[in-house]
Amino acid sequence: MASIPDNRKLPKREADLFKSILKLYERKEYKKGLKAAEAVLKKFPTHGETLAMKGLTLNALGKKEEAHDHVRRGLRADLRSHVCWHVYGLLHRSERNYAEAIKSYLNALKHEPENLQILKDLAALQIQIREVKGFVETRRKLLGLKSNLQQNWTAYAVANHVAGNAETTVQAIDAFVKTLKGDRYQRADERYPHSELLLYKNLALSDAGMTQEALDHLEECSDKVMDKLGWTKKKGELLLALGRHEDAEKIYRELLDRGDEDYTFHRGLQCAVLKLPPKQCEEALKLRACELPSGALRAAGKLGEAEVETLTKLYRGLRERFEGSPAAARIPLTFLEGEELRSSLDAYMRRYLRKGVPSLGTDLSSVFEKQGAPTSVAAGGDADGGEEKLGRPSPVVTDAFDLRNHPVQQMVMDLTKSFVESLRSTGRFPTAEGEKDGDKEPEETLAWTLFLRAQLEERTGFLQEAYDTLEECAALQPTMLDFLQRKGRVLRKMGALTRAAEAVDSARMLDKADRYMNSKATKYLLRAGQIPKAEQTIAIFTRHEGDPQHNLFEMQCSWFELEWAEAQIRAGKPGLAMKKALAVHTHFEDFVEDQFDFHTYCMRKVTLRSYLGMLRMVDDLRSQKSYRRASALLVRAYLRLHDERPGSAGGGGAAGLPDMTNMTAAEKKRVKAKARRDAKKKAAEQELEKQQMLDEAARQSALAKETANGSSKTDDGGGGGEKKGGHNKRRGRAAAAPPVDPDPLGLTLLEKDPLPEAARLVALLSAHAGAYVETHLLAFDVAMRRGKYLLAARAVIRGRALEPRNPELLLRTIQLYHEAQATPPSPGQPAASCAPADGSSTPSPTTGPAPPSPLVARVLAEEAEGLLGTGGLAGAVAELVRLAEDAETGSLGARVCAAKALSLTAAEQGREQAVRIVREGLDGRGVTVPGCANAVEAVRGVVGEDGSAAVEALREVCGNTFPNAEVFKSSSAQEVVASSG
Amino acid sequence: MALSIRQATVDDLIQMQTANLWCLPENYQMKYYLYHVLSWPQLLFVAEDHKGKIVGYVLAKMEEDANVPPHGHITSLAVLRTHRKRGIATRLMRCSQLCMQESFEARYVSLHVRESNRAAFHLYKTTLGYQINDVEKGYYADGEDAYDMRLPFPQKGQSYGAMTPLKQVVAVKRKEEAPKASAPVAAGGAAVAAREGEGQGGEGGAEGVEEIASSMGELSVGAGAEKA
Ligand SMILES: CC(C)(COP(=O)(O)OP(=O)(O)OC[C@H]1O[C@@H](n2cnc3c(N)ncnc32)[C@H](O)[C@@H]1OP(=O)(O)O)[C@@H](O)C(=O)NCCC(=O)NCCS
Repeated sequence: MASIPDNRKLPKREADLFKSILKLYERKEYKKGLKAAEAVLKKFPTHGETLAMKGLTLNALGKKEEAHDHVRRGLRADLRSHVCWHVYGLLHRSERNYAEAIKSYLNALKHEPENLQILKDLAALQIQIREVKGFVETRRKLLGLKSNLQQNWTAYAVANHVAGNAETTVQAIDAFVKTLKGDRYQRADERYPHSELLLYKNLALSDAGMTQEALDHLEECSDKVMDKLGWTKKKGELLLALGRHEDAEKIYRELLDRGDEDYTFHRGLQCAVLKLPPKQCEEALKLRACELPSGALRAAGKLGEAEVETLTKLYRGLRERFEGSPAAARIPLTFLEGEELRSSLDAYMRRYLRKGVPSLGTDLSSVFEKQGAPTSVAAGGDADGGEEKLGRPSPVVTDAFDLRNHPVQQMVMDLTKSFVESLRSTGRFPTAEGEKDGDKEPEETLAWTLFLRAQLEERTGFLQEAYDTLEECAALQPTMLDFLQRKGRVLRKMGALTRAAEAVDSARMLDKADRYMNSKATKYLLRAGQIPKAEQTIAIFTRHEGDPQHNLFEMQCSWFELEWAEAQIRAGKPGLAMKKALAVHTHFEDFVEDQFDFHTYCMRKVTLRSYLGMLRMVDDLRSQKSYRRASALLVRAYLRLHDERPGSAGGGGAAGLPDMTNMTAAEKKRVKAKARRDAKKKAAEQELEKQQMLDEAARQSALAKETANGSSKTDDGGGGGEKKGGHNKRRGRAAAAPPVDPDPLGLTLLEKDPLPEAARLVALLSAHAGAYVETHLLAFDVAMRRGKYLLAARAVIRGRALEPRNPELLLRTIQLYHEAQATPPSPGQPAASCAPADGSSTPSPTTGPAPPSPLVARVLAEEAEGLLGTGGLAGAVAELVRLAEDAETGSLGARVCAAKALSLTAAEQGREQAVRIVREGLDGRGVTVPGCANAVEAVRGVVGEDGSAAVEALREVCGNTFPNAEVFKSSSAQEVVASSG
Repeated sequence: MALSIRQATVDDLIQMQTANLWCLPENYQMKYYLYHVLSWPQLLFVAEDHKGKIVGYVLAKMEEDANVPPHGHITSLAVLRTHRKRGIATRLMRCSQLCMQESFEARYVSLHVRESNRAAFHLYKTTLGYQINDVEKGYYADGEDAYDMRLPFPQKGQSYGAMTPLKQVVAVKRKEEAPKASAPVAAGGAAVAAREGEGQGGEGGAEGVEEIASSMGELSVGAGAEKA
């Protein structure tokens, strides 16, 4: 190594002090470390490495700015010091600024190319941001430098695997194993890691396409593998991949011996007995939850008599082997038909009614699959040697309208009714002719049968009947909590949110020690807008851990935060709502960060298969439902803020308010009246907000006090135990007073420039959650407001690749071409938004950006035929109307889209037709309380102030359909539009 | 039933955390779940409904203290109320217990339960055969006592060959028992060799297994800058 430069040299005393700074830092004795650093700096105020270490220590003490200042000064003083660069890297890393950290590390390595610690840190950062090429290179260097460490081998192997070189992975593991002395299996502490290594190599072999080699390897190492389950699962997979159906069948039967309710095993077994070709097996093994190959075949119309017979025999055998196996009893319900189905259902239902299983209704609903024409798999017989794809099972029917006519639903309902009748009159289940009478059933059985009936009634939209049936259940079993809770659910579907919350809350009182009921009650209270009461309720279980809200945040309780945020949106407090949604985003950022330590940890533990799973999971994190929900809330809130800004021109776009330049006097009047209404509402909101601010401030200070008193209590608790250890750790942190929030109301969020914020969020969604139509709807709505026609076009194209006939997407396609053709509005128009509370089904209003440039116009013209069809804009509107009114594809939601499209493109003339289309959809598919509320709002947007009679008429119809719904009682449905899902 | 009871993967963790928050007052940050699945991936099981919703889970681990025999520990177990009392928890527990024995040679499994939790107590005591080992005063944050319970596993000579299903441990209700595991494989005992030097093993053993757990949420910068 080069000699130490003069400006870095320290006399012995200071050199020792400097060393102690490092030690103290490692031991987390920061205060002492600071003292030592200051002692050095007293004599050598520009000693770079000391300055840097002082900075790092300050950082650990939470003094971010000072920390940066010191580290930078240190660097300036000693630019060639790897210590200074390393410290700078650590500083960036602590702020999760991985890219900058990597730069610093690379600089450090320039001066100290073989520093193991720096290389290790660098590798972790590289994989953290998936800089795979750099990662492989760094791990290669580390292996070269220190090849006697197992983790350097495993890490090198994994790096290559991640980079797609599974063959190199295999070679690396083989090379490593050759270096081993003695039999690993003989050492207790090596047995498990070695077993993991073997199975990891096996995974790499099969990922490299060496299926036969993988199978051979699996056999070779069978006696050294501890993870028997993992070994056996892998063997089944490999056998199927090799088309060895009979051997595979044996394996999957063995697996079922371990767990006959594991649908992954059932999938494998079906593949084997149905002798599916390897490609289809591969697909089948990727099916999820309770999906099965038989379902996929059935959906494609390829489950013939022979297959049904094979499967029937299979499950008969399994039912004998696994007496009472719930899976073996249920699966045939998904492929049997006619009388066989009826008798199987009969037996199945009796069994669970006797047991009193409350989830029976939900369970049965899983066999109400979409019927009718097979969904032929589009890409059948492709390049892969003409082998057909397996496809997926049909989706389960959930709409009440469709369920009413669903043959299996009807069968279940008929059976249920006959059970009720028989239990009522004889106390027994019905008996077939010639059969002996069964045993008398206890009264509970009748109660549970009625409970099932109530669930079926609820699902088919007979809400009042369901409610009455539940009353009967309760009369038989007054203390049965499940019945009361279910009543709450029916009330919620009726739109009676307050009563629903009351019902669930009283159910909670029947079992106060059960947190599940507490959570349920909390959720219902939030849906009913009773936010403070909800907070108090959930706090019953968190109050021992410091400030309840802060504790819920610490514990990453996203479900509550999302429900709370959505409740605040409905309460007209977007600032609060957005803050909470951002809290949910914070959890996801933390999840990403959480990976970090495992990049090194797993290499030592050799849990490499799971480690790869973690990398994949984190890559897909932003497609998680709670992340998407939080993002959608934020985007919509920003869009609303944008639309309400005084400067934002334009009307409601496709929502029914075309820009004013084309308007008649009457229309203009309407728009202005709406603007006035909005302004008034806004003022009221601001007043509320102010009040809220005062309340919130009071609450915060009260909480701070409470927490200060409570924290000592929560820290005690004595006793060891791992579980406890975990708790203590959390508790210590959770009980610390929550940090003071400088902006408890989220006012800074309200002041942000909304469109760039929304665009940023939507870009993330598009990149990570492109498999969801909603992503593209949001992307479109943002793009249009920004005048980005191409982005908008891309959004509809990507969306329609998922669902070509999605009415929301068709409406937006129409909006795109309509607005691209329209002349730009003159500047200075009043804001006139009519985005509903949740904005979900309303495309963006015209924001008045410049018309598309000639280039953009050309691109749009080129895409026009693909997107609009040959009939142009008018043809597309007509097609949307047709789809909306069609018996197969139509729904209230689709009708609303059609209505908006009509009023957008055909203004005056279209209005009447638009109202009619919506009105005629009030007894079909999609008729729910939120669906109707949304329809009423849409029509309000279409007809405006002058047409309030039409709105009233519609509201009355909805009110008759849902007589208990709160939303149709007030004169404005607007507030509660998004009330439930 | 449209319910799949299977080994958990990393992809299940978010939903497991949600189920835990719905059902129990003892909650954990995501990193603690990751720590489990990345340390003992064999021991986590879930019950998933037909919509892919996790309705029950068991989160378990190994106690890796060199001074006591290897044993498992149930960190957390819960089933959504709508799906209780139909054997899900029993299944989840048995699956995890079997894997503790196979993969980690656990001698017994331990857990803590609230004194007042009748459902869980019945499950552990009567259904699964745990015994009370100790009472821990004020174990829970609200001051309630905990039972420290244990279930011993069958010992040596009952090691399990590669493929032998352990029906007596796994099965819930079985008509016929499978033949008992026959071929004993070299098990624990003599093989508990003393830890050799550093060699291929740990890197100075700097970070213990629990390090990750204890560094949860803390800035985990490596050792300062003095390395050369
Ligand atoms: C404890 C819990 C996990 C049990 O789940 P489960 O799936 O209902 O349990 P099982 O169906 O497997 O039942 C196991 C046994 O316990 C019995 N049991 C279940 N709930 C019971 C109750 N409320 N009261 C009395 N016994 C009960 C069952 O009858 C069964 O007994 P059996 O084997 O003699 O027939 C569940 O109630 C729960 O999630 N509770 C909240 C969370 C919790 O307390 N977790 C445990 C923390 S240590």
